[in-house]
Amino acid sequence: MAIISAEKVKFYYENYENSDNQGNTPQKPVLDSIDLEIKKGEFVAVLGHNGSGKSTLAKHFNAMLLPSGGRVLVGGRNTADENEIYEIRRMVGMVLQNPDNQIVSTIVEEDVAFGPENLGVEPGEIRRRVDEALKTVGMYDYRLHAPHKLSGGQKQRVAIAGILAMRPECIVLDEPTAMLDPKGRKEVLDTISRLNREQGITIVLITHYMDEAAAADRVVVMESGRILLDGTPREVFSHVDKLRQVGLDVPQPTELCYELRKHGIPLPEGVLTAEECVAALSMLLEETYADN
Amino acid sequence: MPIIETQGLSYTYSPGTPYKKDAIKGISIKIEKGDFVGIIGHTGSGKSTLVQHLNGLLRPTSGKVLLNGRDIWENPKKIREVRFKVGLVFQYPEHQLFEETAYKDIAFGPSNMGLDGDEIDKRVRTAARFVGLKDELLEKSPFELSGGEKRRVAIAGVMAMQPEVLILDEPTAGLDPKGRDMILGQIAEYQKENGATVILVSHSMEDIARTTKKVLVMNKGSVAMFDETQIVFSRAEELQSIGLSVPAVTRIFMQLRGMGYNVGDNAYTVKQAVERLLPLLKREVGNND
Repeated sequence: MAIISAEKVKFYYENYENSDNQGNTPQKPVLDSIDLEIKKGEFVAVLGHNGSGKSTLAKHFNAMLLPSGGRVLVGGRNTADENEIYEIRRMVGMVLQNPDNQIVSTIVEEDVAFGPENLGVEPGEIRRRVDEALKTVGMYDYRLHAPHKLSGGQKQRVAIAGILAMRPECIVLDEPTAMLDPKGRKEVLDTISRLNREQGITIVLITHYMDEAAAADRVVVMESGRILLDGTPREVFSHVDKLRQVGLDVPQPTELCYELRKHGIPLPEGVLTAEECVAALSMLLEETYADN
Repeated sequence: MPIIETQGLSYTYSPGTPYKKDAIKGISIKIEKGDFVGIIGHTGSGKSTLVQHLNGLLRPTSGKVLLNGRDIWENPKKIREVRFKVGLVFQYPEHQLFEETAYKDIAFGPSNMGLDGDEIDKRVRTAARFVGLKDELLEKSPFELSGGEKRRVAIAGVMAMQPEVLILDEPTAGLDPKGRDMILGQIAEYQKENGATVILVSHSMEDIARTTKKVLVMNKGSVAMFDETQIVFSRAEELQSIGLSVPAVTRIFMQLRGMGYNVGDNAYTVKQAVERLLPLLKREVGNND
């Protein structure tokens, strides 16, 4: 069952300078007729370079932006229907790139309580949800700390806890690790993978780190407001040339096998991880050594 | 004579308070003119504290920083001149743009140096070209530019001072692969064309591996390694033991060696890995023909 479905979604930013007297905006749409279904429980990574439309699309998933054409349904509710906005935003939580832009309180647990308080959840239940959410992201010991003194990765996990406390069905993360160091990136990624696996929460991860995308069930590549590729990481990353053309990387192990294949070395397509690459290479090397 | 040298450099934040923290301890390094040095290390390893000493933003708690052989704190009133000679581009430098136009922002540094109008104009345009900013962008407000363009304006602002040493603290953080490649390429070109000394602080081993000639590894406020890039990456096990993630191709080589294959030294770029593996694998493919 689809939790989010985008049907022929178009989006233009209003630009008064460029518009003619009738208010028509002639420029290219940011989103150009996007059709996309995200199933319940999926872990979907959305890749694309800056300006490809990936963040704009993500903002349609919890009604932060409304389509200029077409429609977005969240759990069957139309995001353009004002009466549904509260429920849609409860179902789909959003984590942004800069952890400092989404902290509202001076104490971690108060920050996490902000969402459920706004939903009118009764106090005892808020307490339970806040504790549970902080434990889930591994930040319970920091519940009385000041958020501004935490590391970037810790702040992002607090932001995720704030969403968890609203009991969402889906979390959309817009480049949540772009400003983090390698340790913080790992903390955040481990947390979202676990939420997906253990609690069945649908994850939409907007990123331009290919290794993060490789961990997802499905990868959607955006280019110029359209969907260029959509498939499993293995399928998507086998299109090395196409990805490079649109300014994206492929994971290093994939690139290594791709380059060797170009030289006639019979390596399989769609190698994603260092381990797979080592396995494939060692098979070939095995034969070399056996020959000697 | 090294262009920059530190002797027993130490810095303590909040001395005499319960929050006292030794950020860097007894650092003695020499950086030669024309070097392209990468600095890597964890968050909190002291990378940023170290580079902020090199242009006199922080004054050492003990030890010295020498620029062209002279202690930069010899005459504290002249520290401003050190900042013209050693340009520092901060993390997320685009947050510091403040002028009405990109042009004026880039011109801010050279204007402060007391240069005349023509020279300023020349430098602004040269720096803008280096970072790939088109002329028509120069008259725009920084707010009208994309994130990558803003970043390039900020870097150009430091390049326009034509510092002898250019230090960049995480210049590619938050950029997409295209923006990252563009900025790294432009920095490498600037370094080559001007024979400038460049210091690049980064979390990305891949970026460091591709661009710099030497690498300084910081760990817990001290220098863990300082050597040619190739040699540092050949010590991948040690890098991992201090919690740094080595490039994926390096991990592949370590594992293959661990399995007993004689694949040679660690590779740290895909290009190197292909060069090393191809002859080994070609033999096998040839045998099958």
